[in-house]
Amino acid sequence: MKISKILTVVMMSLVSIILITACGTSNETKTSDANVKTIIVGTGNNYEPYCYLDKDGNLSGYEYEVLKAVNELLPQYKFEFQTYDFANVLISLDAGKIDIGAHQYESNDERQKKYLFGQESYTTYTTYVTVAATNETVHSLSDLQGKKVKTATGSNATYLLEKFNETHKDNPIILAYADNSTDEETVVGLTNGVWDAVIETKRDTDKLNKAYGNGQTVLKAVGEPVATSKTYFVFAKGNTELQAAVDGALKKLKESGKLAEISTKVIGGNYTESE
Amino acid sequence: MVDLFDWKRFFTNIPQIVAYLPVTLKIVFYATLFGVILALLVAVIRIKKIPILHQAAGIYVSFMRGTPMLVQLLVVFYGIPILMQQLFNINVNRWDKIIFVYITYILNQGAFLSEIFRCSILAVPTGQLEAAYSVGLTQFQAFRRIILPQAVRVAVPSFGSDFIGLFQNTSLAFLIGVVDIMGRAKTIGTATKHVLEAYVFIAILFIIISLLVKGAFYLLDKKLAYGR
Repeated sequence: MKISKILTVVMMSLVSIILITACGTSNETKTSDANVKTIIVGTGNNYEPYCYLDKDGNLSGYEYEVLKAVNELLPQYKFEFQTYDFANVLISLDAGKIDIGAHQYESNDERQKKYLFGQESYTTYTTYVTVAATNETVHSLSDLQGKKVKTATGSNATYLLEKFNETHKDNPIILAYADNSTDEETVVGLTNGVWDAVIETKRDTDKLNKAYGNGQTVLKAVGEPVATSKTYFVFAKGNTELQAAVDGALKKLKESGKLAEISTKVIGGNYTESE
Repeated sequence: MVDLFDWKRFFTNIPQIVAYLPVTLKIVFYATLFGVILALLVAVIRIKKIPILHQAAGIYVSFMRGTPMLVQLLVVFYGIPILMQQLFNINVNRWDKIIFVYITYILNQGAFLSEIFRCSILAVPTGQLEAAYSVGLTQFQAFRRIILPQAVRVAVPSFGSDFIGLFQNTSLAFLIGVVDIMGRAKTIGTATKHVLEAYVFIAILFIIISLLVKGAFYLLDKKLAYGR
């Protein structure tokens, strides 16, 4: 009897805790103006300093700060943020779950076909072949033929590598997909030879060196840029009204110097127009 | 690369991760509560062989047991809104993501538990039912007083291991952006650049949970071991 009593008490308290917390979250009252349209922004939570969760678990980063500033200029909209893992942001845009995709999206033909890109860029994105600092053999993309490159599903780097492989079918670059991996994995994997290279920006490489190098360089960018592109917010095809509004606001932010200010504050340098 | 693990970071992570334990517990709670109800329904349908429903239940169970949980989560998350739109013309796309997670885990648990319940009920010898009828019990009385107590005893150990598995499965919810303890560990890793401490703590947390659940089911099993 004793055991069953204890079990009942434990179960009941668990149930009540859960019900109380469940009520707590659903009681949020939404006071929204009828004229203000709610826009859902889909972003990531695993790419510091662009989109990540701070120590209290709140979304922060460059994407968030820029869109917050954009929203301030567009009182007819109210932006709400939702986080996904990288590959699921654009799928959610397809499915109509979100209105804006924000995850340092570079424009390419494949993406242009499916989505509406903003006209105003908000960051440059020049990517390089990046290898371990001790690697002396790789100097360009063609040196990577037959070697393993760490990449993620749905990324522009993957698209570029696939394009490269189309013309080098005899000895293609091996794409090693590592979706939602961590920075730590990238550094460890490159230094101990799990992968031979990644395609990333110099500022990401600097970030990794700073975080894991203990004052030394562990990774280095080599050769010419793989791609010199910029990043844009992504909208659903046909949503030109929202796209035009966001573009207009971005333009104003650029002219007033606010965008550069955010970039310097959050990323640590002005990467809005050039490297 | 010497700075992989640090106790100070380990301890600062703990409150940040534990704060997300209710998310995980809620998934487990709803999945078990509604999963059990669904599973009982399915088990009864399959044992009684109710036409049409019986076949439908068979397909449902084999789909849920034969596909990866990840696939089920994505099918529910992206598929249900399309289905609802076409059948009832309601847009459920903007529902809170956690609701889709609940639905997935309820459906998944319903299938797995229904099989556990079904074979537990079938494990009670038919002679028991015949004996119950011969002393004049009705069908319901026979089920409640004779079959159920014996079936529960058979079901408890498998139910327990399924329950422990459910806890670990909840970590998939992070894929669609629901931050649970696993998701929080990962996001801490992103923000601080050190993920190992968070993962080690998650491992310890899961072990503690599974030990607690195991202990509870052991006690339950012992209590139900009457007549042995």
